Amino acid sequence: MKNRLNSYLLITLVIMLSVISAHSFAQEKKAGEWKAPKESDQVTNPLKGNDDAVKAGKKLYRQQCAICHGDTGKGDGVAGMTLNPRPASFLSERVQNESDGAIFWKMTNGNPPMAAYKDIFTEEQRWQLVNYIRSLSK
Amino acid sequence: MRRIFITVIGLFLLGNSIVAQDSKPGKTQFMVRGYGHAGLDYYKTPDGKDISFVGAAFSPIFLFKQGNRFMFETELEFELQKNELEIGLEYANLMYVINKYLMVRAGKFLLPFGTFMERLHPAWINRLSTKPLGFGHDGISPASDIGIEFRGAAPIGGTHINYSVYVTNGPRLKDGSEEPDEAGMLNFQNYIDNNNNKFVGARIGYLPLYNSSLELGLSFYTGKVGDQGSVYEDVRAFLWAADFSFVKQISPIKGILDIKAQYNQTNVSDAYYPVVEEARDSANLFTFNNLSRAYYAQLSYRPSMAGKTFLKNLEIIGRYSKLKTPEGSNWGSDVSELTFGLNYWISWRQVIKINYAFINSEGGPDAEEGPQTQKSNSLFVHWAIGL
Amino acid sequence: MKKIILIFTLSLAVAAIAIISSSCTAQREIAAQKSGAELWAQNCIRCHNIPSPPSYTDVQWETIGLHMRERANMTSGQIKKIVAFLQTAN
Repeated sequence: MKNRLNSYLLITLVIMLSVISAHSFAQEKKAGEWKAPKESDQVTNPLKGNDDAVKAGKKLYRQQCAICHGDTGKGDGVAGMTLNPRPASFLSERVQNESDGAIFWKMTNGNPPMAAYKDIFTEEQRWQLVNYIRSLSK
Repeated sequence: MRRIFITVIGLFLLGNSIVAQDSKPGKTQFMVRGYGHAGLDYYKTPDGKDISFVGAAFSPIFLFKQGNRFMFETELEFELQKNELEIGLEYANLMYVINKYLMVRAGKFLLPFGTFMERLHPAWINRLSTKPLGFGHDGISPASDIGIEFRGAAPIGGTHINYSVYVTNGPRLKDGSEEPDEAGMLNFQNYIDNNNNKFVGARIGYLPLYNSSLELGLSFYTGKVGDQGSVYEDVRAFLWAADFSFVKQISPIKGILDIKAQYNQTNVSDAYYPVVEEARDSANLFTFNNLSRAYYAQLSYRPSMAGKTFLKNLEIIGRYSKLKTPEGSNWGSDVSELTFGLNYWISWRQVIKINYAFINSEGGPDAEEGPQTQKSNSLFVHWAIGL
Repeated sequence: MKKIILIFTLSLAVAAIAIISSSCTAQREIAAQKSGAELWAQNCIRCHNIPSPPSYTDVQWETIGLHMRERANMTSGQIKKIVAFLQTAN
């Protein structure tokens, strides 16, 4: 009797654990497939090298972005925890190798669960954020 | 009858899902949400071992929104108990938004007596597979009742306050005439009012921090509980609760710390009940100080800032809870429970919980010859989903 | 028992005074500064995990918004911002 009890328990535990491991494996693979269109690379940043824009961008970042992308841009904000795919780390090579235009395009259009900031921020504010995101890796 | 009922619900859901495909939203919005769970429970007591699959329960929540101010919401509970399908009505209430800071609810609603039963008990929200001792349908404090309530919230500078005031039919005192062993207990699942006296309750919650991570709450609930015209007519009950919640991601510990606690106290004024197995009109009556307490404190940690996805989805939990019912009554007991849990979050609304509980009890309804200590352990493996 | 009722009445009175005093604009601005994204993260997590925006449609988020405004005791200002944010990110 005792052996039978234990084997039921074992089977259930094994099933649960395999669901967990299959799930965490599947989730790791998904991130990093979002690409901005090629045309966006041609767009030039009107605020390039503008330090005031970095400061303005920082303020906007704190209000709207840090909650998911984290205070230091690592992608470890509290609300990012349950999102799939996870929020990008702005310190990563993938983001820092993107053109200013591509980053601008991504925050403009969004990609659920990343919000589209077309209507929330003006164009100028979005370029300020691009500058701030660039400054994070320095 | 039951089959007809379920068929009707099925057709209703089907019809609404067809309507929902229409892309242009109307003023009437309808949604089915809810939760369910499945798992395996293992109990080890001095009497032996017991293992069984559980989860034959389904709790759908129906939301009907008409315009921006009016909503009707109801939750049903389907559960298999002793091979019978039990259907429960968890709540069914109308709701109207009066202004920015106030709304009114009427019908059967979850009572904001503390926060556990109103906000935290659903399987996908509760971090552990069980409710704390003394909380729930057979607990010492209420879960829901029929009445009317005003509730709302308001900002005070950078902080927030929330409030609720309500009037309900209230619980009924078990006078021992039906079940002598339960004389002096309160029956909260009493929806036909047994007297004209109404229960009054309120909760006030305060979020003193700008980031809303901390909430402190205080609730009370009071009224007469005896049957109208009986010797217990003037017996009153006074219940109060204090609740605490703190949830915040803290960088130095690389994760989210979640602390929840609630203390409930139930006090019923002195009354004389018939001694067990004596007739009601017998002169043998007894009384006791009818005071019950239940509380829990829970701490959980989730390494949300860890590098690996697998680690980010893990959560560890510890909870202590205690229930003390009146000494000298036929149902006096002193039970404490310590539970540890390891959870894995599949998504924001799906979780696998592996919990181990140590329960230590003295007395209880079955203890006939003085207090006796009983220890039991249990293991729960549950998979819960929010719909 | 009477003591607790007294504490209650007192805290209600304090709350009433606080609400009246909060009607001065400077303080109102402080509370109004938070973005929908911040409110979404800070309020949902008080009870359960922060929901992923793509889980529901725009219309569904409005229904859930009203349901949660009631359950979690939020003001209409808070819930409007949260729903608007969820609708930009789903």
